Amino acid sequence: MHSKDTIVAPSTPHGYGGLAVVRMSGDGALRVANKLLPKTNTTPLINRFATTLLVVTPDGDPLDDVVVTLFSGPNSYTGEDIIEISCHGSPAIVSSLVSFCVEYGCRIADPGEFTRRAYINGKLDLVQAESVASLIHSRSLDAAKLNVRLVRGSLSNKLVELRSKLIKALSLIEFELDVSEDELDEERLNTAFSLLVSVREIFSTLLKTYHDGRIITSGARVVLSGEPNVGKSTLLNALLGKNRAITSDAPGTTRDTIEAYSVVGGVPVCFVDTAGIRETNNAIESDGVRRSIEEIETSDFTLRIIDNISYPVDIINVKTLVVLNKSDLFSQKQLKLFLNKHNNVVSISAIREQNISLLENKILSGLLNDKFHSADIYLTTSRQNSVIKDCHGGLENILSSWNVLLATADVLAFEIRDVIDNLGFLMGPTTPDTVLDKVFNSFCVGK
Amino acid sequence: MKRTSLKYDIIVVGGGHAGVEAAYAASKAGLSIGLITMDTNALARMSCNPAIGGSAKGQIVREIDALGGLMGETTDRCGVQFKLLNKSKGEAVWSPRAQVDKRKYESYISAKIRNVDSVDLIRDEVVGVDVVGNRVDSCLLRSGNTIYSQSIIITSGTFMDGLIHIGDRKIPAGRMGESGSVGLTSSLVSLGIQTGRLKTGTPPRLKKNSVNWSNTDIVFGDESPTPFSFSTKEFAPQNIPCHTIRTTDDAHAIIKKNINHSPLFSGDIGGVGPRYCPSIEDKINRFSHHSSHLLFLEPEWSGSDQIYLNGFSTSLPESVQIESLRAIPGLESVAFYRPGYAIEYDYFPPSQLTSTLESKIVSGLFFAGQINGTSGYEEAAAQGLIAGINASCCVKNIEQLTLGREESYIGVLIDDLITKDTLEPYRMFTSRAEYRLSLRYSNADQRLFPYAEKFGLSNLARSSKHNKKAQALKSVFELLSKPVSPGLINNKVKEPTSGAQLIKRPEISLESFQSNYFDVIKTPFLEPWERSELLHEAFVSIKYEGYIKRQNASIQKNKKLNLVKLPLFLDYLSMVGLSREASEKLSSIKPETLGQASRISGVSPSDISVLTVYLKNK
Ligand SMILES: Cc1cc2nc3c(=O)[nH]c(=O)nc-3n(C[C@H](O)[C@H](O)[C@H](O)COP(=O)(O)OP(=O)(O)OC[C@H]3O[C@@H](n4cnc5c(N)ncnc54)[C@H](O)[C@@H]3O)c2cc1C
Ligand SMILES: Nc1nc2c(ncn2[C@@H]2O[C@H](COP(=O)(O)OP(=O)(O)O)[C@@H](O)[C@H]2O)c(=O)[nH]1
Ligand SMILES: [Mg+2]
Repeated sequence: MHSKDTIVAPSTPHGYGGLAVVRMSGDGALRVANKLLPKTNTTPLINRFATTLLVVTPDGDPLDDVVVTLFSGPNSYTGEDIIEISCHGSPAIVSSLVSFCVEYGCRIADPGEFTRRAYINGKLDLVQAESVASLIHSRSLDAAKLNVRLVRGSLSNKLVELRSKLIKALSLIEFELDVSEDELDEERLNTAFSLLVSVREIFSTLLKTYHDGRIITSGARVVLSGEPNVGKSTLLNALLGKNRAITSDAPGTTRDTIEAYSVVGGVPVCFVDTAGIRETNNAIESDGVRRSIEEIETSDFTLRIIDNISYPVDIINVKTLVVLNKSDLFSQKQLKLFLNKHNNVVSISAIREQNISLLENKILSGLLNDKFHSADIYLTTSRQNSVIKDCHGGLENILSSWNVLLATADVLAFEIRDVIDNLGFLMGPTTPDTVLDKVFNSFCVGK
Repeated sequence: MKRTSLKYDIIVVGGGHAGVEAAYAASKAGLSIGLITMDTNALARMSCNPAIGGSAKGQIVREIDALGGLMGETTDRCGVQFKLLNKSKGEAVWSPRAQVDKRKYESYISAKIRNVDSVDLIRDEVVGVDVVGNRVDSCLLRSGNTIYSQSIIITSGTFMDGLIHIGDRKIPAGRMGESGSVGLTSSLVSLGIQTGRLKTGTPPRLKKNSVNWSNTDIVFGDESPTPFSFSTKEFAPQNIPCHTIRTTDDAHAIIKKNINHSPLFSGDIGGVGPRYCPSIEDKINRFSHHSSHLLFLEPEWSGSDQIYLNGFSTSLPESVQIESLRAIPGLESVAFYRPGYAIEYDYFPPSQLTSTLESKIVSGLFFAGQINGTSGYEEAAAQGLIAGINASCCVKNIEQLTLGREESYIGVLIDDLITKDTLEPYRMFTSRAEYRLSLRYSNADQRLFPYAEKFGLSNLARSSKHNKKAQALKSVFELLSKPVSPGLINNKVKEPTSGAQLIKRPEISLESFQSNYFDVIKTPFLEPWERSELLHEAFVSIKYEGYIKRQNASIQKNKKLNLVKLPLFLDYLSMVGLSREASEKLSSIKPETLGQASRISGVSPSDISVLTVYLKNK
């Protein structure tokens, strides 16, 4: 009887290419791989060795020369036996390989199933698993770097460290409740308190990284707004041209806007040109204006473009930067006078591509709290953010009512446990045994 | 002398704390019971410390009492010192404890059991169990007799292939002075039941007059003592003191020097002992930075000449025990009645049981007490009680009793036993109960009374008292829902606020209310201690209301999982999507419900969703 099904899927995108990779995972992977080889084959597959082999059709006809690599479980990505076949990159070869594997007993993998198995078998935790998906979809090198760190466990390790501190603090309280028959021990409580304070500090540092982490990994939306003819489209081209990014018209989404992707200082940015939207002060009923306002509200940053130095510059908003375009049309003196009066305005010439780098820098400062990405660890998903926020809030509560809680140490323990349980939404649950283990192993118990 | 017949509705093997509760509970169902034990003069013997209750265990005793068990009332009659522990640490962990007169305890229980007509006490040793099909059918006795029954409860404690260690001396025994039980283990193994080895230890018993008492400190119990039983009346127990003394560097040095003579360190003992009850050699070895350990000198019965040296559990050679103790001021000329020792014994990993404590593979065969890998009188008694109730339901073919984790420590105990790996003898701790805040000693009767009624464990007097008490509690809540006039509360209150709102303020305690505030609540049917407990209980349930509400979502979720039944023999190994560890654990433990599955270590929430999907698609 065969146990646990074996999955198969192409791991490289569909299309023609030099190479393509087909991957299997499960108890049957090795058996299926051997079926793909000619009956006369004598070369054994060795763990973590790339072997050049001929694969044949079920009728025994040669199909392709391939490289087969075996990764024996549990030391593999999924924790199960994995076979990777690098074949020539023809869709026909790939699909034949996959269908032969299915014929020999594999099942086509569901999307993300390899990573799911890695998670189920404890090779990755939840944080790491979700970062794998983000890594694959990284749109900038910096985003990729950040995701790699997450996949490699930077956040997970930090959370493990924090959880063990929380468990330590809880075990100090549980010792008081479950073992000690004396009055509450001042020193032990102080140790618990300072552990909790240190965890709260780290939680709050982590929370501060979420804004940047999200922007770096998921990218930002930056809206170019302004009257017709101020030079929005020209500026968009200048911003893109410099970065040689692909412009994509997105007609399906909003008829009147153009979206284009680029990378600014490592941050993937989607620039939205509110082309054709007429902004007037009185035409609130206009559909275009409403849409433009919506765009601005849902964006991370807005460039308010003007081309007139008599324009009233009154938008003071951290999410908005006023850009004076067509600087080439003004005299130095005029510009200087204007900029002195409005020191938040950046002046550029889109057509001459002047001051574009400065503008980019300003955009980056507007988007990120720390444009040098100097934190070790970033929170990147709203799930991470909301869990850590809850944990942080829980600790705030505990620490601010510490003296009151001490009168009911059972409630204090309940609250600490609640924080640990919350953290479990990111890392999996903590059982009472973990806490008791800590009690037994670090204290001398037994009256 | 009663005559023994050849057939019983239920046979209980062993007359320890588990066995007597099992027999007593089962007898209430009007069935005939044979209680077979090796020494009928040693019923409910306290093998180790002369105390009942304590943290978490006190709550268990209250629960046993609520379900009509013997332990609570016996302790109230035989206790020599009572103390409510943890008074400064929050009401959910307040735990009653008592020092007990061991001899009185045995004789009280013995009289109780002998008084029940339907229980036959049989002095013999069970050496085998026979089945017909997969149902138990009979017990084979050392005497050669066979006794028949369709329900057998095994409660043989530390006796199965028991082996005592004192230094390198080894004595086959069930506990000091009583022979062990040989043969039953292999008979059970031949039925397919797995077995393992555990170990526990006990300290030496000192001669009272060999101690220089002036070197010890005195500890008394509470002045207003807290009893265990909801039936106890006119409670006025003795308050005999215990004494404490501290170990010294010199004593430690002697132990360290001889540590290799302890079978724990020489490798002679293979069984695993409890970490929470370490031997003195273990404490000194693992916590070498502690220069001194506290020891308690406890009388074993009132007027006892035999002193139990709590905190000095050991299996060192007797000479080393003496030498090291003599290095302690006050014990310079200490002499023993008997040395401390360790005992190794067979147990049967309890994951082989259902939540009713019946074997998953042999029907009608129940297991309770120390043989399930637990330690402690209270844990044993609780299991005995549940096994007794369920064996009788099994005979009558009616629904059996499984208590939930959210409603009792007993529920936590049994659920932990059947879902967790036994890595050491299991002792209850309050922190094992995730819903600890609701499992108070003071509401054990409220929590479990409905079961006592349903399973015929209560009586008329108890029922009527319970109902009156519930009524009184309701009146207290009503009173507290009304505004409190400022004169009746000691703290300053500006606007008229309800008592309940006041109680939620941290600075308000029960004592903040003037003593006459509750006078309108009339409770002539309650003992004074019960009345004050009732008020406290009302107070705490209001104070903790918010926290308890927060637990409810998780309680509901778990209840739902507990309702989803899993077939006992699912093929987990070929189930798609389970982690390797989960499928192995699940197929070895064979949980009865999705809830149990979720509490097995190594089974993650994602495994549970796989099982859920599997059950849906089936
Ligand atoms: C040395 C020692 C140290 C201990 N230390 C501690 C401690 O530090 N802390 C703690 O909490 N608990 C301790 N205990 C455990 C405590 O004594 C037990 O938990 C409790 O007594 C278990 O109750 P029981 O009913 O399961 O078994 P027991 O009290 O052991 O009773 C078993 C009964 O079964 C009978 N019996 C056994 N085999 C057969 C048979 N084949 N046929 C007929 N009758 C049989 C015996 O005669 C006995 O009456 C210790 C026990 C010992 C022996
Ligand atoms: N002199 C000058 N003209 C510019 C500059 N940028 C844009 N323009 C001109 O302004 C006009 C409108 O530009 P366009 O980008 O279409 O404006 P939009 O309607 O805001 O998108 C075009 O004729 C551009 O050539 C600039 O920096 N300097
Ligand atoms: Mg335009």
